Amino acid sequence: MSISQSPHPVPRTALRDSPWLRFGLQRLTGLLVSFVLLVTVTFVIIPLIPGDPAAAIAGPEASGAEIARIRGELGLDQPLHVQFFDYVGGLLTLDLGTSFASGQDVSAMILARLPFTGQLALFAILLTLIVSVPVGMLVAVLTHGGRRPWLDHVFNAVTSLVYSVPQYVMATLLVSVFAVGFRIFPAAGAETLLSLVLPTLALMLLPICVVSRVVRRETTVVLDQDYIRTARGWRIGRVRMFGRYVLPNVITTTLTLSGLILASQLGGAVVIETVFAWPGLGQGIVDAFLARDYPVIRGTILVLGLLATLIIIVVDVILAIVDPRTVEADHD
Amino acid sequence: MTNKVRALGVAAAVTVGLSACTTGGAGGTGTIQTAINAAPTTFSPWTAETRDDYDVSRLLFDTLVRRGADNKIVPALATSWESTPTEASFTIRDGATCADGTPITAEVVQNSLHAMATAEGSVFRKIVFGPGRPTISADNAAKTVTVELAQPWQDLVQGMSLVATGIVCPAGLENPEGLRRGSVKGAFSGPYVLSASSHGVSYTFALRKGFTGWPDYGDTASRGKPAQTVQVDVMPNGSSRANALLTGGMDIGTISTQDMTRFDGDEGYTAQRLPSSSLFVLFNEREGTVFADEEVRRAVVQTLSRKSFNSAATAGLGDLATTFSHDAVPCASTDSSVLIEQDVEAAKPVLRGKTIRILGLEVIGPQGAGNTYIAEALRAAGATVEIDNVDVATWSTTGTGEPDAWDLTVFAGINAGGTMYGALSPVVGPPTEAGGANWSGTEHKDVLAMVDEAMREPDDRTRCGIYQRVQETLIEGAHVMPLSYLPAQLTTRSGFSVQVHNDQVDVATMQIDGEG
Amino acid sequence: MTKLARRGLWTPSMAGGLLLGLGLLVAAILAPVLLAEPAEQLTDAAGQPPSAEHWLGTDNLGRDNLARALVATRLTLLMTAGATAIAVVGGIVVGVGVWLSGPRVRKVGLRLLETAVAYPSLIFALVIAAILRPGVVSSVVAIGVAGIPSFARLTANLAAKISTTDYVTTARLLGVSPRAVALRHVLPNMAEPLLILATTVFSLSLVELSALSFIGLGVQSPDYDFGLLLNESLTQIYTQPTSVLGPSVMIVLTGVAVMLLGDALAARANPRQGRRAVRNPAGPPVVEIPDGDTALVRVEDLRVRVPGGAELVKGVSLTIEPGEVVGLVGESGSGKSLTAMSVAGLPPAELEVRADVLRVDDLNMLGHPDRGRLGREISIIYQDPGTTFNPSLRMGVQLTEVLRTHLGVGRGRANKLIADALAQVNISEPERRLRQHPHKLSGGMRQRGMIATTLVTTPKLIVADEPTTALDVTVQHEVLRQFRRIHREQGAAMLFISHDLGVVQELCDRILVMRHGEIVEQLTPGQLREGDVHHPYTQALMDAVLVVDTSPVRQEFS
Repeated sequence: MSISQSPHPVPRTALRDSPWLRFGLQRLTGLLVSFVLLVTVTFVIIPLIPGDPAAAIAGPEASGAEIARIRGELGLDQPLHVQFFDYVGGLLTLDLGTSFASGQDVSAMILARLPFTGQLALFAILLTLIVSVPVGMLVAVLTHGGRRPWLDHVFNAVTSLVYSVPQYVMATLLVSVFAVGFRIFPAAGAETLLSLVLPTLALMLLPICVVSRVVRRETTVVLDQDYIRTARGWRIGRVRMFGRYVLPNVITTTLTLSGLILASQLGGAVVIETVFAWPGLGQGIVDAFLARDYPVIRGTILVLGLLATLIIIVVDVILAIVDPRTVEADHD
Repeated sequence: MTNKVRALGVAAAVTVGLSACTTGGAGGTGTIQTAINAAPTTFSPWTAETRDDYDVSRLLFDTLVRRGADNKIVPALATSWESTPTEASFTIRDGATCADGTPITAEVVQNSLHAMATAEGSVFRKIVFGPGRPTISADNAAKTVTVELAQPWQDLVQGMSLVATGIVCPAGLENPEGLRRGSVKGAFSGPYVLSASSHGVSYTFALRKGFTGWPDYGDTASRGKPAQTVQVDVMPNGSSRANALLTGGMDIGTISTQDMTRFDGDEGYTAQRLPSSSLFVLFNEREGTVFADEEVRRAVVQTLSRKSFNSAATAGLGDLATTFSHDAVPCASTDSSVLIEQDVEAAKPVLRGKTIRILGLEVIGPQGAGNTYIAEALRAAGATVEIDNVDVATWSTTGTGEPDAWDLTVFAGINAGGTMYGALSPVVGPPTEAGGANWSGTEHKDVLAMVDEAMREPDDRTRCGIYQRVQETLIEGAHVMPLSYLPAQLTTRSGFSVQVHNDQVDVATMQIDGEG
Repeated sequence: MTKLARRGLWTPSMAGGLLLGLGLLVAAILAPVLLAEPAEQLTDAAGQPPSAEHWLGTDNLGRDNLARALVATRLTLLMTAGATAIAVVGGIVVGVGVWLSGPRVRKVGLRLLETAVAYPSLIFALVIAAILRPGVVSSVVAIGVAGIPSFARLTANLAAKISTTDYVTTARLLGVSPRAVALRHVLPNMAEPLLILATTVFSLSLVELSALSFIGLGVQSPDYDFGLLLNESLTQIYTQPTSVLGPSVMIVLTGVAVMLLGDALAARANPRQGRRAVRNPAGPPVVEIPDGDTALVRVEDLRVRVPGGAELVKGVSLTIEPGEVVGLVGESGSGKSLTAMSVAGLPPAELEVRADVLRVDDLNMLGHPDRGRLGREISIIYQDPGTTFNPSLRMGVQLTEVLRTHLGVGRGRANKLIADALAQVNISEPERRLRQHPHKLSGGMRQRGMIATTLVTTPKLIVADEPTTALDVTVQHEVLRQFRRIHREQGAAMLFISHDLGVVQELCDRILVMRHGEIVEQLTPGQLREGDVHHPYTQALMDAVLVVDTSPVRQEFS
């Protein structure tokens, strides 16, 4: 990165000639490192949350003796390192353990929720991109070079307004109008495909504001780039100009951001999940927190972490295809 | 209850008439959509813990009897019974079977009850059988099961109506882990089996062909038929449930938020507000704490207004409480003159300068608004108040495990057993640090003695007289302050029905009306 | 105001943001003093609908909803500011720290940050808030700490960008310690973008603080912020919507205020902001060339100006005969590039362009001539070859653009043609180069590639805007050779812009010297070589050349 340092020596192996292999290995190492960190950190941190799982299970009307018995049953009376090795041993055999609260298999519990979460988050992010990229680019083009200042202000005002409306309120408005009012879509639950419409919409609104703003900003930056001037000099048509020259360069930042949004929506869509009674991972982890269900909390955090890392990798690969400089950037 | 109580063999035997039981004899029809709050913590009836657990177990496991209107015990799996304070014997219905076809014999019942009576981790064991271990015997030929108690315990027969004493078939007893997870089909004795489940998301229950053990609540004319399928979704948010009910996405559901009022005057729905738990102030009276002094406790009670609390905690939708156990519990006191009257001026000099640490349960009103009311009212009366609104887990942990960390809490008594003994458990008996369940720290030997007396007393009216004295002792001594009964509204869309007796919903009686 | 307006500060965003922000500040300062009683005193008037006395009704403890919403402003703003401060300061420390550390640590650190950023920050916050026990401080810490990774990553990225700028490189070469570089050079230059990012973090913190309240881990009573008020009233959202109105509107107002301010700041930071595109009156697409006018390019009285401001090109007139190479020299800001771009029909959108005549062949560059003809007949070669190609497209796609778009050549043939042309300009392995992306090629190669396109499209006019300036001297030499060769082989006319007298003297038939938007002198290469110049400015330019005249390449030219 810095010019004063000589580029560090690269071993003369086959790796050097295959940036993709190197790229892949690096990402894999990254995945492993974050996995190990995540496992250790969640293991140590989760028990620091006040509230005893045994007391949570036994309930307020239970006796002290009963709570002590449950602690023993859950293995919470073991020294921490013993618990840790048990846990890691389980992980190595792909076993996330069983829920403290219900005795159910943690992986099964997560798998039950994952499709709902995935469906919602993927739909939301895809539609977000489909809406925000054209809108952001259009606004950028229309206002580029100081044209149509009113559109600039309207766009800023509208996006910041929609962004600022609390999600719960926004979601409730949608339910009130489209489900309870007009009865077009189901108000709650995840039974039919139609059930997906309102939660997706509610989940999209905020990212649409964020992403379309970013697309707009990026498009403006790209439009000011020298290579756009070059392309203008070639007098190529508008469609080709935006499709081939502007879009790929805008999409880099947009995709990175979308990846982050997608990852955050996997576990962070609690509000939307609550309003629409959508059985997603966010609701699952909040429930697990309330029950101090350590195995479920740890398992969910781990799965979310892996998904986040995977999303980053997928985005990186897409970016590397769009803009191959990113692969080689790792060489520097 | 560690007192040794000897059995008194003398008592009038109570016989309840034979049951005709023809309810729901025909097959089922259609689907009923309903919801629970959270994933069931267990499918094993005797360790059922949450309201959701109870509902699910009701569908899956039949009980010997049920509790009908005015606390009258009615037949279900047992067609008749006889009882004394120390013993009860039940006659099992002919032709009852488990989900796997195994006939439910007296021995099957005996084994199930024995397992329950010896199960670790059932809060109901004592509520049903009392402190001692019962002896349970069966006579297969006569189809009778006899429970002999270690001490007099008048609550036994009522206990056999609780979900916790649901009969688990042999397949379930053989596989306790599977029983807990709901994966042993043969374990079920109730009208439904768990046919599909996505844990934490949704559960599907299928009606069993030829199930006969329906509860016989008597004259309640049944117009409908049980549903072929009961679809239960996990739906924690009250507003979402109300929306689902209003838009036809749900048929029967319980709502405990202010959304209850959205059904007011709507002819398409039947709404019944039932007390779901009783809220009362519970003091930490341990030696050296501020509330060891009765005068201070009394001052707190004098400061607080039940009405204002009720407004904060239930938006005024709950009923004002007259006792710490709710209305539906046999022998609950309904006499508001027992209560200490509000007198803020008298309380002020006592409270001035006192520091009170409130352990708030955040579900008492939105964001713990009920606790906030108490804090603000005490503050206005001159006390220094620290308040900590925490979730159920932290609340239970602190309340049961850290007696030094709090002075006062609003206790939410669910009292799933529906007995006075159950309602008393957080207030009397050995304190939590001694392995008991009593949060207050004062054992109340006098009260315990009265409870022993009541358990020996076969006559309902006399027994209630004793329990009235128990409640007066605790209320007048400012050991507890009844506040309000937290309401839950059973909301049923027209075309569907479910029976409610004695303020308790029996989800096993959910039905789809006639024509459908 | 007018001063602000001129600096592009007084935009509607700024006005709106400031107005809202001030309103909120007033509420934050005054409301807790003036409205404490209706906001906090318990009364018997519980759960009342809106009335003249209580505009938004009362809550279930008989407190005025509106007063509570207003009083909560102070705590909300303080908490959000606190969380933002933690995220920003923590982010800067971590980000700069990662950037300052060795390459290995940096790489791992960046990767970890990336993963942490991707992690749902709400869950981070949930864990932290749960451990610390809910309350004001723990909410602030939780949301602040959860925001650190993303801010750190942005800081590290910014630092990386700034560290490659010249002055930082220079400082490093001069042996300034990394820490000092960070403190003296990197941080001050990040201040503005970081401030803009901070406004984003602020609005995000606001959203997340209320989300934390939603889970029940936010502020606990008796304290209250917007989030708590909102969540207390959520159960009434259907039954008493006015109770939700107060906190919702306040949250929206706060969010909008901050985002508008952020927009305004970002606009200010963008140097291109404040420019307005002008609509130049469009003439007909083609003009008639009067008989006897042999010039390929004719410019008469070209004036380019900032609307309502300075005139940058002041009445320039010039002609270029077919096949003639005209050099345009002058220091930066002399208007030579503007003149050339006006000739090419690509002047900056925010400038006003007027001329009596501005034509290339019969194409009226003041109108909208046919795109195809423009593409075929005019080639433009730019200054910095490092940025003139689209980094995400292969060279082949870009170099064949004119061939395929305007000359109707198929893709395969276009590639073949361009590969041949590349070979002609001495580029090795031309086929492979076409498959490569621009960054794989050296600057000289890219510039020669650009020149190669003109070999196949055979334009009538080549406008070359300082094509050698950004290149190494040795490479310059090679590129110039190619220019001479095009001219020799194709006979295309050329408008060659440079500030380097040596270069133009070597290449051009005629040299125009520009200064302050005017042509001050016209010379032949011979005059230039012999120092036969009259204008003092030209003289000064020549003196400047002498300074670099010691370089070996220069000697070759002279």
